[in-house]
This record gives sequence, structure tokens and C-alpha cells, in this order.
Amino acid sequence: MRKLITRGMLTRKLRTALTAIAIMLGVAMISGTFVLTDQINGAFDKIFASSFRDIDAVVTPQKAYESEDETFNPTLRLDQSLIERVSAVEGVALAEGAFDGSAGIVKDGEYLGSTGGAPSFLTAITSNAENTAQITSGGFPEESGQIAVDKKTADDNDIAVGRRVQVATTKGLADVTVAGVFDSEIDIGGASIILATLPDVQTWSDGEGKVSYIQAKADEGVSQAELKSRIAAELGDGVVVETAQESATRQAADINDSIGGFLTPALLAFAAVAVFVGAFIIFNTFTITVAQRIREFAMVRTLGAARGQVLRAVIGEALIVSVAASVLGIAAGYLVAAGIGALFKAVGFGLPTADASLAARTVIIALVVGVGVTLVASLAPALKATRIAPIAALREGATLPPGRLSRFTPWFALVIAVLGALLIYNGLAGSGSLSNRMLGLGVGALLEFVAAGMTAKYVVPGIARVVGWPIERVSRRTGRLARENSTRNPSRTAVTAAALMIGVGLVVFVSVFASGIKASFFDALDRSVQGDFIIEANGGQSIPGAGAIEAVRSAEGVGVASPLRFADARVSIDGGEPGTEYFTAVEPDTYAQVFRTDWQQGGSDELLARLGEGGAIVEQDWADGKGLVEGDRFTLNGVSGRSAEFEVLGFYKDEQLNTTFVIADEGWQRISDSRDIGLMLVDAASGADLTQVEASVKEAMKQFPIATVKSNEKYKEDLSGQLDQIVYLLYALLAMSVIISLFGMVNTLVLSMFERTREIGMMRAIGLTRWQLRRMVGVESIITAVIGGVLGLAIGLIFGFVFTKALEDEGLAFAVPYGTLFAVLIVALIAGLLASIFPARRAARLRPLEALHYE
Amino acid sequence: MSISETQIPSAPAAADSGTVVAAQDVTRRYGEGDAAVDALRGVTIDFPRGQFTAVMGPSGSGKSTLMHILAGLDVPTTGSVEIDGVEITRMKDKQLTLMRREKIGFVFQSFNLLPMLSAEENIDLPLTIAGRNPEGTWKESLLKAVGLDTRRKHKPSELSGGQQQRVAIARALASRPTVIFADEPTGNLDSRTSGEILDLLRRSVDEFGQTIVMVTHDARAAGVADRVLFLQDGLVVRDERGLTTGAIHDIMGTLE
Repeated sequence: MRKLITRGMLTRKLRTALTAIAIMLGVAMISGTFVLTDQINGAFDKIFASSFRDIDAVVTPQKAYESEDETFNPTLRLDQSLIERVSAVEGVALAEGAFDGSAGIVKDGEYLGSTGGAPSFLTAITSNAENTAQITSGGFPEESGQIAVDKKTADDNDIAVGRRVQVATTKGLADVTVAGVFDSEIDIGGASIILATLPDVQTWSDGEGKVSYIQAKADEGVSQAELKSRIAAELGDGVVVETAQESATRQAADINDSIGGFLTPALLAFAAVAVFVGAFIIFNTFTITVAQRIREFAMVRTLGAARGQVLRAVIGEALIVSVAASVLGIAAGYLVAAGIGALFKAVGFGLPTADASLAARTVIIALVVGVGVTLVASLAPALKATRIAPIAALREGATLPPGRLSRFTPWFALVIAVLGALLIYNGLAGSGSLSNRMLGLGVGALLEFVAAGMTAKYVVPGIARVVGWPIERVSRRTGRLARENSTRNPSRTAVTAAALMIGVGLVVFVSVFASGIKASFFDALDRSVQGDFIIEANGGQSIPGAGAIEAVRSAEGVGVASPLRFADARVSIDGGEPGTEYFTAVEPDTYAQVFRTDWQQGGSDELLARLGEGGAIVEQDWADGKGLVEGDRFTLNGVSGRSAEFEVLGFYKDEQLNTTFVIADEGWQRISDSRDIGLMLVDAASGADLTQVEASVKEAMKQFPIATVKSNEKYKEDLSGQLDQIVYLLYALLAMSVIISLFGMVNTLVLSMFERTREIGMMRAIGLTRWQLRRMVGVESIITAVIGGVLGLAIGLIFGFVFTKALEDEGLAFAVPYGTLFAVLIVALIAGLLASIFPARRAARLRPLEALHYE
Repeated sequence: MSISETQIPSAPAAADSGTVVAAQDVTRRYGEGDAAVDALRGVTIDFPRGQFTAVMGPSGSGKSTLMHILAGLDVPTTGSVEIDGVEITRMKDKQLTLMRREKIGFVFQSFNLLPMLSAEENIDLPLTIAGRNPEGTWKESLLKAVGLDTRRKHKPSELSGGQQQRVAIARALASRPTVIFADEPTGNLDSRTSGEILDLLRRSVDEFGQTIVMVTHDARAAGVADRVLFLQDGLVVRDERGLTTGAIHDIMGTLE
């Protein structure tokens, strides 16, 4: 039997190879995900480990809670005076203040900061700076007005030691000299780093007398733990003291959790789709080959082989192919990791990476999934093979007996579809943790795909007729034959098309969802934002406080400038369990002039004027969810530990922008000292020329190059562009599934041509030219691909419709992206054509005489 | 480029009794060196228009090879083949294909119908491939002649073996080829059905003036032919006309 397996595989090398590729690509996605996240984790581990290499203890501010997104939340700092108290602790050899901020470089009046997501770090130089940075030219900054920049930023922008540049900071522009260029040990993934002396960094970051954390070195013979407890005893409450080891581990873990908690499952979801598509192909390939080997199996059965042996022959082949393919897939994971990394970088989400060895976990999961999925997918065909009666060996053209349960297929499909629908329903509207519901959604969607794949054979002839119609008009002779060929075995065509359907369906879904978000979000912007210009900071940072507002207000032609501050805080209602919420702090009088609030329950802009220190207006849906009514009170706990109580004054509707509640600036100041701004809405004075106003505002903001002035239109365009980038990223990740399904199409075609060798010989004998034959195969392939495309469109639109309807409360609208749908069909058509090239060439190379006598 | 525009140089119209297929000193060697096998060792033969010729011979005599070479499916090692006065042995694949499309019909032992097409569509296949429209009256008379006008919508799987072979014959006749090559057309059929098929081939010659070359090892089949060629070891050893089945049987007995 073992011989039967290996000989069988060797004689069908091509088919074995194509099946292996389908498995390999899916496994490569899994292994690539783990390799990439390991590389990222490794990089952060390294960053923190090296920055604390010569440090024994670290003192950081005590946070009231862990903020989920610190972009807009004020960073807590320590008082500089603590440094001396730490120095005085017995056993401390050295105590230094460290300061982390953000700043970009302005060269010849041009801001060099990244406009994507990668941060621009500003870091104070400390005694152990050389641990993370090796000077390649010049030296570390030693006095005020000097900086060192990372090599990549220096090289990319042609900045050499001695160059005069400016640093764009919270406080505006500062003139500096580049004292040195340094190389970072690790790939920092597109981030730029500026090093400067502590006093400079403090001044630029609006943090005079403050430090981010204090690092201490121990005297000889004092352990880290000992040092930690001595410092903690001295400083008491209000600060956190950790050993350097603890701090490095914790910080790395924090970042790795936030990346791993999102990135890993997201990438694994795409890998799962790829594997799933591969499973369709494995199932189809094995079903076809079992059908083609009926006489062979029947023959070995007449020679006395038991059913179990036939089963083992098929399963054994699947096992060998899948192990080999999984091993290759694991190795190919490094390429996938590099590819995904490059993809992220291309759309501005560059992340640092470091070499990572292959983790046992990667190998085990990839092998288990690769082999497991293959075995499951080949089980049904293998069982079918066992039902071949020995007598089939004697019959010409014996076909596989239909399974005992095959007439129940539509019912099975219905059960699976209903199950999937229930999971999707629960995911959208049910209870349970978010991650469980997301998993349910995903599994539910996969079940729907399975149900669609099972029933697709019933619609294949119909769709083929519709798809084939225009082709038959163009190519009458071969078109008709091609269509007949594509429908002579509907379940085979159905499964082949279904593999493509999955990738296409998800692309369409993403597209529908994105256009829904765009439509609703931009609609909300249009309705509410009345300002002519919007000023925002680059790269998700915040605009430095008071200075920028004054600058804009004094610009010529500016009527109103209103700052919006976005923040999060722990909100507790009626002493209930506090939850983190995002909210907006506004300047009431100017806000009313640039923002139209959709008041509910008879509210009006008058309420804004009454906000004061303790008032809040609340979004209607949020209020309903929390059971808040007018006059209710809730407490905000800031990250600094300060808290304040607010009273509900009124209600508005705005599911997109101000999702929870709005308070006044005075209220915000009760829990935070930060004056940083998230967005500034600017309205031109009536009658002013908009072009001139834009120019004057831009001129006024020149000293704050971290911010960009955009017209209302431009702002929306940019947002739309950012959304598109994410959508393209998702398309790129889905492309792998489409590529895998392409291999499935090639495989099915090759196997079908194999089956039809004699037919091909006959047609060639009676006058079918090679070119006509190739065209016939091409059209057949296109029909299959377009069927997959059409099914994918349908299922993608249905998913999109269901999801947007379910999220209608969030203001999401269902919008059909016609352009994308058209593009998807064209891509399917091209995919079909591509998939046919190789099988068509093989078929055309057959010599008619040999083909006619092929057994 | 349209394929229907034939690139076959048009031959001078042959007289009714003229030669339609001619082989000149045809040899065919398979393999090389010690393993070489000479399937044909010098065959010169003419087939006049409207004649029904059976080619007989024991296994390995070269009868199938001869038919394949005459039909442009195989290439002779030396010698030449003309169809309608046009030399085909040096044609490129495409020219050969177009030549087969225009001038040759095939009937195979295993019918070789396309399973997804109806009987009528299978008959139309050569014309479909050539991009020609079937002539309505010709097709109707064909369907009647092969006795399938009531079963024209049936798929091959719904037809008996004899009916399938009749479809195959109608398919071969559909494009009114210069010559039909039939390769053991009764090989897969029982004797009663074989009789019907042979009768149909005979009538194609008598009623439509069709030229047929049939390879067979069945003396009864050869008995309906006008002329019987006997091959042995790659050579034509006898070329007889008007033989009875019994006589054919006797001759075969001397060859095997």
C-alpha cells in the first residue's frame, strides 16, 4: 500500500505539486504572522533591554489607570526635585532624569516629520545613551542648542554634522545645530529620533522642572531589588519604583500586548481565510483524483485490498503532501513576514523588527493547521474511494457512486447556513465578550461560505449561461463548447469557483463596509462642521497649546478659531464600575459658531453657554445605553488621579464625531493640566477671501510645523485617503487567498484536461486548431472564474448589507461601491485567463493521435 | 484572425472517378537503432473517389499506422501522401488541422462523442469548429439517413452504442469530407448492431458518393467494402475487389 501511495504521487507530480502549493501558501501566512510578530516583539524587547542596560532602578509617575490610547491624554511627569531625593538614598551611585517627548525637524523651513503613523521621538540624553545609539559622526549633544539625529533621518534628508536646522516642538520652532548622527541598534520602523540635553528637551516639551522618569544606578554590592525598596521607602506614594529589569519587561510587554493583541489576531484571521481557501482546493483535487482513479482502486480491491487500505492510501497521500507543504510553508513564512512588514511600511504603519529565531510555537501551529486541514479536507474524498466496488475495475467509464447522504446535501447546507447566521447574529447583536463575538462572526462567515460552496453547484449552470452568453456572441465556436465543459461537472466547477468566491466576497465586503463608513462619516462632517479650515497635527500627535490658538486668531481674515480637545477618562455613574470613555472638551462660545450640534429633547446652543465647570451634554445613544437623564451626575477620573463631577444638561445626536459627551474647557482643566489640542476648527471672517485667509493662517502656523492647515474639503480628502490606504492594506492581505484560489483553478483545469484527453484528441482530429483549443480552455476558465466572482459579489454584498444594517445605529449606511464591483469582475476575468494559460498550453501540446489512444 | 478562412490551397477539381487519396512509397519507422520498428515498409496505394475500401491485416501489420498517416494524424518517415492532389506530409500542424477539418471525416471504434452535447450538436461539431452554419436540408437528410431524427435532442449517455456510432457517422458525413476514415467502427458493437452500422456506411457510399477507408479485422465488415487491402509486415500484400466474406476469411487465415 505504501508503494501505491508514493508511486501514485510520483506519477501525478504536477497535481501533487499544485495541491502542495495551495497548502503551502496558507501555512506560510500563519507562519509569517508569527514570525513577524516575534520579530516586532523581539525589537521592542531589545529596545527596552538596551535602554536600561546600565540602570538598576526606575522611578515613574503613578497613573490613576492605564489609558487605552495615550495620543491625546496628557503624559504624566515627575517633579525634577525628586532626582535629588533619589540621589540622596543610600546605595544610589547616580540618579538622572530622563525625558521623552516628540518633535520633528525643520530643514530650510520644511517640516521633515512623517505624515504617516510613525512617531518622531525627542529624547533627553542620559549617561547610558550610548546603549541604544552609536555615534557614526560628530558626537552626542553637550550643550543647549545641539541635537543628534538618527542616521536614517539624517541620510534621507541629507543632514550632516554641523548643519543648522530647527526643531519643531510644542513651543514652536527652536534653532539648533546637528552635533552628531547616530545609528540605532534596531530597525525603528520609520520612526525618527532626536537626542538633546535634558534642559532643552524640557523647554521644548513645555515641561520645565519635570522629567518623564528617573533612572538610578546602584553602588557596588547593592542589588536591584534592594535599591528599589530603598528608593520606594524614601519617595513613598505617588510614584512607581521598579527594578530596571521589571521596568524593561513591563514596558516591552505593554507594547507587545497592544501590538500582539491586535496585530496577531488580525493577521491570523487573514491566514485563516487563506488556509480555508486552501481546504476547498484540497477537497476538490482529491475528489477529482479519486474519481479518476476508480479503476485503479477497484483493481486493488479485486486483488484483495480492504476498504481500510484504500482509505489509508488516499489519506496517506494527503498526509505526505501536507507535511512537506507545511514545512515549506513555515520557511516561506519568513518571506510573508518580510512582505507584510514592507506592506505596513508602505502605508505608513512601519514597525520595528529584529531578527527572531523560529519559535517552536510557530512550527507546531503551522504543522498542525497545515496537516490537520489537509486531512479533514481529504477525508470525504477518501471515504468515497472506499465505496468503490471491485466490479468497477471491469467497467468502462465507471463513475463514483453518489454518497448515501448526498441527497441531503441541500439540507446540510441549510443547517450550516442557519448556524452561521446565528453566529453572525450573536456577533452583531448578542452578548458575550467582544473577542468571542468577533470569533463567532468570523466562524459564522466561514460557515456561510461553506454553505454557499455546497449549494453553488445548483446555480453553476444558470450563471454559466449568463456569463457565457456574451462570450458566445464573441467566440461562437469555442464559447459554446467551453460553457458546456464548465457545467458538465457542476460540483467541480462550483467548488473551484467557491475558492475564488471567498477572496472576492471578503474584498467586496471590505469595500462595502469602507464606503459605508465614508458615506456616513463624511455626511456627519458635512452636517456638523461649519468651519472653513481644519488644523490638525501630523502623525496623530497633538497641537501644542495656547500659542497656536493665539497665532491663528491673530491671523488676518480669521473670524473664529475653536480648539477641540479629545481625551479619555474613567467615567463612573452612580458609583458604578468605572469604564474608560473618549470625550471632547470644547470652548463653548467659539464651538457654537463652527460646529452645528444636532440637539435632542429641545436642547439648543444655549446649553453650551451653560456648560461651565461642571456641565456636560451627552450623546443620545450613549445616554440611553447608560440610562442617563437630565440632571443626572457622573464622575470623571483623569489619568493624573484628579476627579470631578459633571451634571447632564442636555442631549445631542452625533454617532460619528462626539460619541459620548462634551464638556467645556473649564471642566477639562479640573482634571488635567494639558493644554494640547486635538483639532482646531477655523472659520473665515464674513466676506474674507478664503484663499487669502488660508494663506494667512498657514503663515501664522509656520512656527508650529507639526500642525497642518487644511480646507474643509482637503481634510475630508485626506481622511478618505487614509481610509483607502487601510482598505488597500486589507485587499493586499486578501490577495493571498485569491492567489491560492488561482492555483485551485489551474489544478482543476489540468485535471479536467487530463480526463478529457481522448476528447481533445477527437476534436483535434476533426479539425480543432491548437489556438481554438487554447481559447476553449481559456473561456472555460474565465467562466469558472467569473462564476466565482459573481458568487463572491453576491455574498460580499449580503455580508456588507447585514453588517451595515446592524451598525445602522452607529450611523453606518449601506452603499454599493459600483466601481469596486466592476473592478472585481475584471480581476476575476483576468484571473481566469491567467489560470488557463498553463493547462491550455499542456492541452494544446497533446498530439491528436496519442491523445486519441490515451487510456 | 478568423480560422474559418481556410488556408488550404485549393486543388484542381478531381474527376468523379479520380484519385482522392494517394500514398507514394510510404514508410514509417518508430524508435531508433536496435529498438527500431518498421511499421510500414513502402506502401504505394491510390483511393478513387466514391469507393469503399477496407484495410485488413493481422495485429502489427501496419494497417492502423497506414490509416493515421493517410489521415494526417501521423507523419511518414519517407514517402508522401496527397489528398485531393495536395501533398500533406510536409504540412505544419495548423495547415494539417485545417486540412482535416475540410477534407477528412473520422469514425472511431469508441465513438468519441462529446458527452455534454446532444446528438444533433455532436453532428454539427465539425461545422461548429469550422465556423460554418449547418445546411438545414443536408442535416435533416443525414438525421433521417442515420435514423436519429426522433432522438436528435438526446445526449450520448441516453443512446445505445449503435445509436452513438450512427451519430458519429453522421458527424463524419456532416461536412461532406473528401474521405472518411473509419477505425474499427464495429469493434465495440454486437453483431446485429454491427450489421446496421456497416449498412449505413455502405449506403453513404452508394447514396452520397462518399469515399470511405475502413480499418477492420472483421471479415464480415470487410465484406461490405468494394475493395479490400491486405497488409502484412508493413507491406500491401493483396489488393482485391468484390471478395465475399468467406474469401476474406480465407485470405486472412493465410496471413496470420
